[in-house]
Amino acid sequence: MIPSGHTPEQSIERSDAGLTDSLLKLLDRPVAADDLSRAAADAALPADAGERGRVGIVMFALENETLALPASVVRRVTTFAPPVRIPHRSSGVLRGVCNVRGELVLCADLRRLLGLPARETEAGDSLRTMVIGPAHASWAFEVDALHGIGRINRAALATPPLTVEHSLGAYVSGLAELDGRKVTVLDGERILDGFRAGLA
Amino acid sequence: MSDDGGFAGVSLLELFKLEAESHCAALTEGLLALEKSPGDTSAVEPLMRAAHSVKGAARIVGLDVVVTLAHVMEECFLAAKSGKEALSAGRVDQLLRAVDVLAELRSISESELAAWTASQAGRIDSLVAELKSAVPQGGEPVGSPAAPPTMSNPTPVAGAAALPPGETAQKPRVPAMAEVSSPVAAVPGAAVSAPTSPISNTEASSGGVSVRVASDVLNRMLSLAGESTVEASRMQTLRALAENLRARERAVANGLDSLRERVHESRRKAAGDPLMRERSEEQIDAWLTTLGAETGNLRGAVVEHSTRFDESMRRVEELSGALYTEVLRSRMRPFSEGASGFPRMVRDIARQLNKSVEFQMIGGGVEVDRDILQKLESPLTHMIRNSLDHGVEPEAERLAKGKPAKATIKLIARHQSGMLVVEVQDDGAGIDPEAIRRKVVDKKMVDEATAARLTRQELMEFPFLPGFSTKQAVTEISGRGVGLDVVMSMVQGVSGTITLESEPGKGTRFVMRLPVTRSVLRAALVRIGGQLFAVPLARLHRVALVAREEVSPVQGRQQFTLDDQSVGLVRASDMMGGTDPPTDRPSLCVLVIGGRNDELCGLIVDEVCGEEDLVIRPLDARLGTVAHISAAAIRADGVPVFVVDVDDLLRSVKQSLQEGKPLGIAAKYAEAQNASKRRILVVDDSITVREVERQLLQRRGYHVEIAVDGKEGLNALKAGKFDLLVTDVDMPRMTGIELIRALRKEPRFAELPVIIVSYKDRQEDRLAGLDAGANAYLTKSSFHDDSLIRMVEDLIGAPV
Repeated sequence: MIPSGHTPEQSIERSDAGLTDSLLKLLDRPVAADDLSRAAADAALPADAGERGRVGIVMFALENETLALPASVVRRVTTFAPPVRIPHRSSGVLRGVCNVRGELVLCADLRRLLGLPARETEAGDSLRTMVIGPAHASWAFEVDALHGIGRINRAALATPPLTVEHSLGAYVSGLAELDGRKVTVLDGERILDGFRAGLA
Repeated sequence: MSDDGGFAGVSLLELFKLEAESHCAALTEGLLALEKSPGDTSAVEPLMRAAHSVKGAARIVGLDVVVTLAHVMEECFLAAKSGKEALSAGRVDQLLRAVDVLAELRSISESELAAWTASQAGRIDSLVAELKSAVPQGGEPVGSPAAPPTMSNPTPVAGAAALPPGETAQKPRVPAMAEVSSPVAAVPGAAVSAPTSPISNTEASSGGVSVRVASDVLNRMLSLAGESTVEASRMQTLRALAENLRARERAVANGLDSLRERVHESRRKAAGDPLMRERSEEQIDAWLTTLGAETGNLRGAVVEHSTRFDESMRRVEELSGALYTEVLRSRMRPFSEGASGFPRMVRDIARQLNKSVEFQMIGGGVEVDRDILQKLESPLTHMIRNSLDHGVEPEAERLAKGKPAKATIKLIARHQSGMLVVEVQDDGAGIDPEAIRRKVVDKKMVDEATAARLTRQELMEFPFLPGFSTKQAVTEISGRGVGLDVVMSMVQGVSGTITLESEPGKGTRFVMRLPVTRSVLRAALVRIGGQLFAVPLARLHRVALVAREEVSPVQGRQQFTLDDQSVGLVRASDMMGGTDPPTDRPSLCVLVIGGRNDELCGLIVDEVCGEEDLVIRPLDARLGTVAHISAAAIRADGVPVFVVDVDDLLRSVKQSLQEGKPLGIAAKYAEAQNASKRRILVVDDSITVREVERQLLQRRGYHVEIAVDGKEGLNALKAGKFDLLVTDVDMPRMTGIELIRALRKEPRFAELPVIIVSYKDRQEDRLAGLDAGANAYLTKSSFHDDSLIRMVEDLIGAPV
């Protein structure tokens, strides 16, 4: 007999970018009034009150670390969109512009902002471009890979250790552990401020 | 996104304005037509209806003055229709002025309306009186049943007497002239309230710019977008099919593996037994057949899949192409829409100059991008005025020359080899090239010997230079020495060109060549310093391959000779950045740029990679202006590319050629200087204070960065390395005091020198600042003396 039929892993082999995108859309949907009142009730609960005191995060890899940003600031994640240098402007944190689904988005260098070394390896298949920030002030940056999304308890974030060897510390809102993985959660607003400062 | 669909958010007044606008156009057109053939009573009918509609609509929005005006207009048309009173030129003047009043409404906002109505009441009243004065009273009973009882202002006929004597009868044309729709406003004393052009009706009332799109275009776009969605969902099926293929391929591969094993096993078992061996061979054959069949199926499936994929791809390509075309078409308007004001303008000016002119428009249906149409209006106005004033001769003179008494001005639009060509022609006196030659010498633009050698074509370029006007007398219509140079720069502004041709005694012809649309740019793709850039083809003089031996230094600058002209050379990468790839090619690739009246400049580039149509997108507003770059675009392969701003680049190139030194090196030197400087962060929410402080410190030699409030300041401090913080106290989000407190909590900022600069100079404010951890507290008066600078030097020393 000759074996035939589907193997189960095929359905998992979808593009993670597409999957995350649709999940993110779910997270980004406008807040309904009763969601708001529920959130208000959540806020009144003690910190470790289970599922409700939690925020969505998008996890990604950068220089062998797992970093994360609040899902609320992440607009989309796509396959790698290479940035093009802006004459007289691209230097330091501002890398250029890239084409994210037919839109030109300013592209920043998150590694540079966080004081991480420049990527040494070739651009692999796992490379992704992440877009964060409001519609007309969004920023794109590349990440080594996307790890998917998760939920963490904001109140349970550990404060980052004082001994930070690079300027990463300035942009971290806390450390979390998710599925046995150590996740450094970044402060979206501060990252955006950092990118903005790179424009000057 | 704002909700801009439908008319739900549009006020009644807006709707009235839209309606009045379309009626105004119809009225103007109809009146001019009627003037040409006064006997045509059937042409009066639509005019009557238009006036009637305006009256009804005005009553709804409660514009009583407009109701009155529209009513008397209707009465006039009625009288004309019934043959009681033929429409004389004077009467048409009056009616046109009434149309002007209606047209003016277009630019009046809801809030200004009351004031406008009050201020115009007198003017409208006298107009009404004029219009009524000659209308036979007998016309009254025929009036429509809807005739308003609300004729609140039955101005007596004697009302006209309120005007200065002679004003109404003798000079009805003067006020009409003053309202000629023209952005150039070349008529002295022209009313500022020139009605806006119909294309520029981007009603700014709701914030965003909205444009009118023909509904059938929108419908086509909608259905194409719908089809695209359907097509996209078909992709899902294709994807499922592909997954199925992959599964089957895997099954075949697995089958092959297991077959190999079984064959091996079977042969081993049957090694010594011929009977077993035979059965084993049979078994193997059966397996092979099965596997072969499966492979055959797979091949079939692959073929089917690729066929369906190709079909789908073709449909998607067609669809997106069609969608793109429709979207582009939605930007297109008929040429006549931008030219609707010209017949009236020609008539009015011709009457004023006492010339007899017929205006013809050819190609009114030619579709033009609305941006370009809008930008065309004012250069066209100028050229037509020019023809009326300088070109067309008075009737007597024409007759003496044996020309028809009536002059003709033609406005022609057509598409030609991918460009929009617009011509303004007249059959007037033309321009004498010798007159230009004399003037060129008079104005000392070139010396006599050179002037003598200029060809006719070259001479025809001079009228486009600033300060060059061929007419001796300055008239009020045109000819003040400003004009054609403005026309030229406007045409160049939309990447077009303009030429002037003239035959003395026979006429003059302006020919403009313009891109059909501004949203698509035909560009050369050029590699500069390893990066691709787009250079608008219209601005590219030519591309030259220059052998290295041909390049020679003249007065410290590199140059080569092209058509007997010395062309200065600059490395493009010095202007755009990037690094030139090492090259051992014997020749340089040179882009020659420069305008018609401009010195040519040569840019050395890596290579020219071809040309492409690019859809132009504006640069991200956050970038502000970027030197030498005008816009961005996305190439067909999805890679972003920047569009070179040729004019801006030319300026820099010329400057660099004059200085005679490579630009890049100086810039690099300045950069290296910055790196070793002392760094100061200035935090203040006032842009003025920020700038004053920045300049003060920068002039001193410090490197200065800025932040707009405490929060941004804190982030900047955390992200960068600074030697000193200068901050204000009162700021949104985080005050200076809070900022300093937050800093002092962190070990790495415990010692950072901090200066507060504040308007507050009370002792308790000072103490609060110093208490929070500031090293010094200064007031903003410290800008005027050098106390800020002294304090900075005390705290961190000299700049370098």
